[in-house]
Amino acid sequence: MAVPVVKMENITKHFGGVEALQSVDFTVNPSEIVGLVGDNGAGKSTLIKILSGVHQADEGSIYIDGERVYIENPHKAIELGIQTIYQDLALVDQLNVVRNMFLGREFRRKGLGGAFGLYDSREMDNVTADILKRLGIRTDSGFIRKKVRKLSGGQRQAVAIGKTMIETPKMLILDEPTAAISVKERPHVIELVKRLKGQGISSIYISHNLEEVFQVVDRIVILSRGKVVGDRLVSETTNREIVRLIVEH
Amino acid sequence: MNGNRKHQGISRFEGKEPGNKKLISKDISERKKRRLGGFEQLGLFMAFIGVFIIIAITSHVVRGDWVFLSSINLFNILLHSSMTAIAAIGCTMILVGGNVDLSIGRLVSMVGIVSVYFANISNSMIIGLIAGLGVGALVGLINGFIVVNMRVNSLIATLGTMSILFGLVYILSQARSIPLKVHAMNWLGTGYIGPVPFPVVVTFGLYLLAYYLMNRTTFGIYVYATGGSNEAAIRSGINTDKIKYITFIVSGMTAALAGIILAGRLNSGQPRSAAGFELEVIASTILGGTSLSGGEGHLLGTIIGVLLMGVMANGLIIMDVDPFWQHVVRGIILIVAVYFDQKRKEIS
Repeated sequence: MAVPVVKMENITKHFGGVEALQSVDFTVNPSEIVGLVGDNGAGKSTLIKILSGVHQADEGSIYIDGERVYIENPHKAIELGIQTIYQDLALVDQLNVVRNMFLGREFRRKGLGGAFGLYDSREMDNVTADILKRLGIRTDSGFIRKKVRKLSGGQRQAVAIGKTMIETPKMLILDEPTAAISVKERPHVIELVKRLKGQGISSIYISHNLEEVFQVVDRIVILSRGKVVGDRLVSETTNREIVRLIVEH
Repeated sequence: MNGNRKHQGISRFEGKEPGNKKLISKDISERKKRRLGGFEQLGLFMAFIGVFIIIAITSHVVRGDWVFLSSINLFNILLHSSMTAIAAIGCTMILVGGNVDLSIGRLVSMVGIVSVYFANISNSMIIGLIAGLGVGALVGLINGFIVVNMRVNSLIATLGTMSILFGLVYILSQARSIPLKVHAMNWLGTGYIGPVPFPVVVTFGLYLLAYYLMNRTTFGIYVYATGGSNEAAIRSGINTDKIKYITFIVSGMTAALAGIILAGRLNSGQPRSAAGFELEVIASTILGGTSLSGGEGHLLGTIIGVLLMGVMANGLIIMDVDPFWQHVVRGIILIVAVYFDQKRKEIS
């Protein structure tokens, strides 16, 4: 079998006296979407925060493409190709789509202008249009110049994902990606995650909505009270079994 | 804005990409439109023209002459507006960055006194200029420290420094005005280049510079991002604390420059000068479409807002209205401008 994109081994994390994670093993394979489910307080977000560099594990090791890594901070995670989509927190409402996509990573103009901080508008426009096209988003007239505030929930999510695509990531972490999105638009986001998988980008998909998880992911990992209590391929399990695993432990 | 927005989301159909090339060129043409300030500023500009015409006609009816439209008066409006306009650059930046600076009015009189004092003892305009700008930068730095490091709301922080400056101005000057003895510094406020007052030239130059800074550089984007969503800006790797510091320093320095020019015009440093200046600057800026809640604003709107206020103040003066009515009008404009800003937000 191929080398996993991400392999977390024996991860343990305490917060004061509380053991948030106990020897958790977790892997994500190339072009795989893994659903991470569990009750509130099961340790999902702790695990994800360790992977995205927000927290550090007390024990255990992380491997990316088979290589041992130390993710000391969020910046390091991004460097390693692990991008986390922060719902609404990632976007500035008052800025347009292009400005949001490139925020903090603007292309500078060549030569003296760039040294003075002048940015290269045309190049950023082109790359934005390319990325949106790659994500299968219709860029109707003026879309990339629209202020993000004027976009729908699904379009905002697409821009947040697009933001991570400037340097193609290895893996996306999607934490409740459809929570703030109308029911009508949810299929679009699911479509988008699948499309990325087709381009070789793995994802971790966290959601409370099991029905949705079944539609998107290839494999489901169930956490309960800081432990992995189940790891099932979607093709070999049922909604009922997952619920039983979440509830029983 | 349009009813079928929902259908413009993510295309469900692979291979059904619309012609992107064409759309990009459309985007670019739209961008050109926005480069000129977009429709929002156009509306404001029309309002300015409207007010201008009304005042011209009313003043003609009241006075029986066209003094308002004379070139001397028009240059006078520009000259008078130039100090507000210069300070409004800093004010626009600071509001866009999500803060407010109330200390600029008292800073103007403080800088007047300090710069005149240092120019006099050194007999050098340059020393006076450096001392004045230095005080401006220092006060900006202190405001930045209080807001960024001590995490005090900028409204309160600068209300505090405003009061401190007010006290210090009177303590340092012993409530007396200091006459300026350096002619070159007097020229900064009263000189002309051709037919154009020097402060107007400075204002024009600064707006050009600030316009590029805010609309063409990454710094400008970061100011908008910081004011729009501090959280998202930080997550995008922007040092928002640094950005806030810079906006406070710019605000301090533009107010300082206004203070130096005012001292030049008054030929002295006066503790009582620039009463209500901060309100005039903030009101003009907000009238120009800059949002109090951060992330939005445009220097083009600011300059129109400043000129609109300037024309109105001038109109009231030449029609012999009690000058204190200016304060009444200014207050009303401020409230109405904020009201419309909020309305606009509710709509979108």
